[in-house]
Amino acid sequence: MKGGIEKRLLIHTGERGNVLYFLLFFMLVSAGMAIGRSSADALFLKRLGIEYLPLMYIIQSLLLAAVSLVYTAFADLIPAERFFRNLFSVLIVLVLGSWLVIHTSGSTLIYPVYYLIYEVSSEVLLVHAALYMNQNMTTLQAKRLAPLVYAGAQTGTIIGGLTLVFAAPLVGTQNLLLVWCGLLVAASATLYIRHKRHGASTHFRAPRKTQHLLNDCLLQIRQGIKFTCNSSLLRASSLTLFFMVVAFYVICYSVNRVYTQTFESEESLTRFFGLLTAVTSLLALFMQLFVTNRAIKHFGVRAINLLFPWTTLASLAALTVSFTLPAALLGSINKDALMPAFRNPVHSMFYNVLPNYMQGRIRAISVAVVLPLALLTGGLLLLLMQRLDTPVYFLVPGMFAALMYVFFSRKMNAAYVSTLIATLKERLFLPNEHMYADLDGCSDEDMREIMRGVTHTDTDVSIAFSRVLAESFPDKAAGIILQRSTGADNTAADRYLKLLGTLDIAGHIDDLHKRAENGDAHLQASILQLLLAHGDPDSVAQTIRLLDSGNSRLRATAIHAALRYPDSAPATARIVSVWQALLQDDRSTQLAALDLIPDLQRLSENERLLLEPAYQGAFTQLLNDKMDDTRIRALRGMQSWVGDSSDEIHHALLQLMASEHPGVREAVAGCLHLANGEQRATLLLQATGDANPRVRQAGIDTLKATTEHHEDVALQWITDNRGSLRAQQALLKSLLDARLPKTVFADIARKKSEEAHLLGQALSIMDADAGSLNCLKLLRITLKEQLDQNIDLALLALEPLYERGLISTIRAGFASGDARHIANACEALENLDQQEITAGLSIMLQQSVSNDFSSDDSFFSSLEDVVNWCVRHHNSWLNLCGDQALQPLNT
Amino acid sequence: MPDLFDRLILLKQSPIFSMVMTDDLRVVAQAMEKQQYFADDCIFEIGDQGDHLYIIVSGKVGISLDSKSSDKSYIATLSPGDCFGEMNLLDDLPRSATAEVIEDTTLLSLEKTRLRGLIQSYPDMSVGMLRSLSLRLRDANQKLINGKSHA
Repeated sequence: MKGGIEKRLLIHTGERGNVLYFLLFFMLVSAGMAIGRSSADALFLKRLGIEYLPLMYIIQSLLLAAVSLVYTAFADLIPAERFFRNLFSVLIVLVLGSWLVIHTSGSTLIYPVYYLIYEVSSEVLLVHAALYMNQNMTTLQAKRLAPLVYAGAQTGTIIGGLTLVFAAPLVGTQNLLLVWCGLLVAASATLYIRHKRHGASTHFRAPRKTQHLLNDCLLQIRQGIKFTCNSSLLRASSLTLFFMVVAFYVICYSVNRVYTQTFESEESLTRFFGLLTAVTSLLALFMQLFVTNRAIKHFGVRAINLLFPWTTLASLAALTVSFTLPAALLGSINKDALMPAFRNPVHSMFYNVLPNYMQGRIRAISVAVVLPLALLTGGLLLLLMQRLDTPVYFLVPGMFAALMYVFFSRKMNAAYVSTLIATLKERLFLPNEHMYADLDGCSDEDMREIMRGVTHTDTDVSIAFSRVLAESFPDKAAGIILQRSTGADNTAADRYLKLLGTLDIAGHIDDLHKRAENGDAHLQASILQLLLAHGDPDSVAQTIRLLDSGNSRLRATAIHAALRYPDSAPATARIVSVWQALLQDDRSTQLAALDLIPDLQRLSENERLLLEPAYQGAFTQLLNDKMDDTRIRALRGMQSWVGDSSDEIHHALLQLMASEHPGVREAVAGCLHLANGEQRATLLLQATGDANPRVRQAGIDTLKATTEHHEDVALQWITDNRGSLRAQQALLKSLLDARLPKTVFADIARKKSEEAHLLGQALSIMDADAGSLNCLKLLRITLKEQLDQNIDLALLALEPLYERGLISTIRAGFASGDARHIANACEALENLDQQEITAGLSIMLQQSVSNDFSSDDSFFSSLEDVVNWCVRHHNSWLNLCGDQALQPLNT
Repeated sequence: MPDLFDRLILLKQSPIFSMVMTDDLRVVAQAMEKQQYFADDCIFEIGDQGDHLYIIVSGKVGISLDSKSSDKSYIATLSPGDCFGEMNLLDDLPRSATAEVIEDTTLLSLEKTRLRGLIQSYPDMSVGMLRSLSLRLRDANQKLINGKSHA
């Protein structure tokens, strides 16, 4: 029963306590505010007069600006609950003071003062309530629970309104102030107990403490204005708020004018206000409970964001046509029922997409600048126009304000998703596009930073930065890298020298010759290879003389030089015999001979035929070596082999692809051109589905290098569900920049989304009929993994359909594991175009994150059905898990 | 095969391997060796050069800071699914505690070199290891807090 109600109210497991607290707290606050509002309005309108109301708006605007300065200083510096406590304390003192003055003095001045106390405090409370919710809920929670919590507030308002109906004639309007005081004390106590037990608000992050309060206030306002200028969402939302306030206060004034004329005594007006409050709040409550949430879910935040602007326009139009009680009642329903039911929850959601550090400041700007300015404008307008005979004079400008309100609400909608993505990007520390740009031409400061890396004592770090230096400052890099390689061991020096391959080393030839003379045979070979690659004529004869060297690398370098510069070389037969000897000696000479594979093209066919069998023998020997390093070097050498390959090699490739060493697998992936037909496809799929990203990339590179229409092949494999989901992901990634039609990607996204949907339904059945057997547990884990992979694959396929970086930011949000980022990512996904794909994906993502797959309809009828589906599935691992789970079910 | 599936569930429950996909965990599960210990056996002593990490399949293992705990005072008692011995595989320092069998125990062990190879192959495992060490650190912090409050 309890669970059923919670499910209907969209309360998730573990949220019950939180929701109950918010309901009670906002109920108490709202009941008090309802009493405060009606008593303030009735006392002011009857004891002072409606003609002073526009003046009140003007004073209220100035007061709001001042109070907001203080609010800005504290809003996000202290936990929201502490601010509430301070506010309640001040309010209790002020209301009690007002009651005392009303009873002891005959001055009418207390009524505008009391009116202002209510108006200012209600504005601050309204703004702060939203901040309090945001500090305690994620976007998704707020989306689900905000309407419910606001419904609690409405219930409080109804109770407050009904109290007025019965209490006003009994105790008199002025004594209702004491009731408000009592409710403030109760709300304060509830807040205190809650946070004493559960600590400060979950999402509150305390900023640095400061001594300069006023400066900080102004700084926060300035920062808020800066944020507003830089954000399209904030600009639109500020203008929306401005025009909404103008239109709202025109309606307020108009309906109060009608009511004051209609109800003659103070008590009858108070009772009417109480009744009106109760009825409009009841309407609001009904909508919040049964309409708002579903409407937001069905139509989306952006559509509902336009509802209140249109009804405001309609209310003003009705009052313009007929300035009577029915039109006034419609106006009241609009501002007191539709506003809390639709405008407030949606507005809160719009703010929630902004980064936390912005939210407090932006709310402060709203209260300190926009609201007072709008109020001042509305007040001046009414002050000037109320003297004229007909209300049309202020209702028509009110309608214009409402029209502008509609216009800027549409602007707000347009900026919603981009702001969500920008916030997510910022929170996830994802770099902006320009950071991906080539480092070429970067500043001196960047150069200094790179140099710090190049001179780092750790060789790996130094070489990594040297590579960046070579790419970003090619004109300066050669000298620096050469200098850094001095004193490094042979292996490191070799790696540095390789970086010089693409650089201009003309100015360093002498230096390199000296290094070669003084270095050992290994370094000498590396330098000579570099010099030969740059066509240095002096090194040719010097290198060819080394054909009889005792060092295999030097001999190999000499063979290369002799073939490249045949004019200075001995007879080819001699070269070939030295070469053959290299291949027949030990492993170190065979490894040296691998560098010569590209030089085979310089030989005649007969000469090649002499060497190729020797190479094949060497390959087999090297691949069967126990050392992984030897295998990797052999495989890397084989990557440039274009001749035939033996069955032994095919067998070795198959074996080595299963190696535990990722370097071996990466090297195998690089020479899959040697594998035959079907074996090549299988191994390529295995490589592209490898857990190690470097192996995957090597697989993709080989596919591209060895297949004429690799895009078609990759697409076919994805469509046919060949290979693991990780393989399909790697293949899909390789296709993203291939300029394929967008419909291709949309189709993939749709298919993967459908598959994910099925997996979700399978999980739903498994959860309902969970067994304790390990094979069933494993099947569930595997199904969940496949679901997540399918969702990610569908999202990846969506990437080319949207603005660059948008989907990758959403994916990063999901991968973060942080509830707030996931919530924002879901929200962004739900508000994209192509809703037929994205809406379903968002629901599945939410289910996957909460690990709750309960569903009313299912493709599967039973657990056996699910297991049988897994057995028939194209994914081999799911297949195997299904097979294993089927055995106990059959017995 | 059923043994492999049981191993996979066990691995998936341990913090180190929980982030690795079950499909990939097959390799890890196959790389692990089953070992049987009896009550009072010492798996390793403080100061030993360790080269294995262990996951408990069944039984109970006590961790103490003394060599061969004679008074049976353990700072932690580990049960099925718990992992131990992974710290010195990362820092190459001698064992920081003694592991003793409390009840007859079956363990799965993984050698240091294989673990390092697996981390390179399955980078998600390193996140799992960080998670495991973080949980240990939290546990140690909590014990320090409890110790302070008792004092």
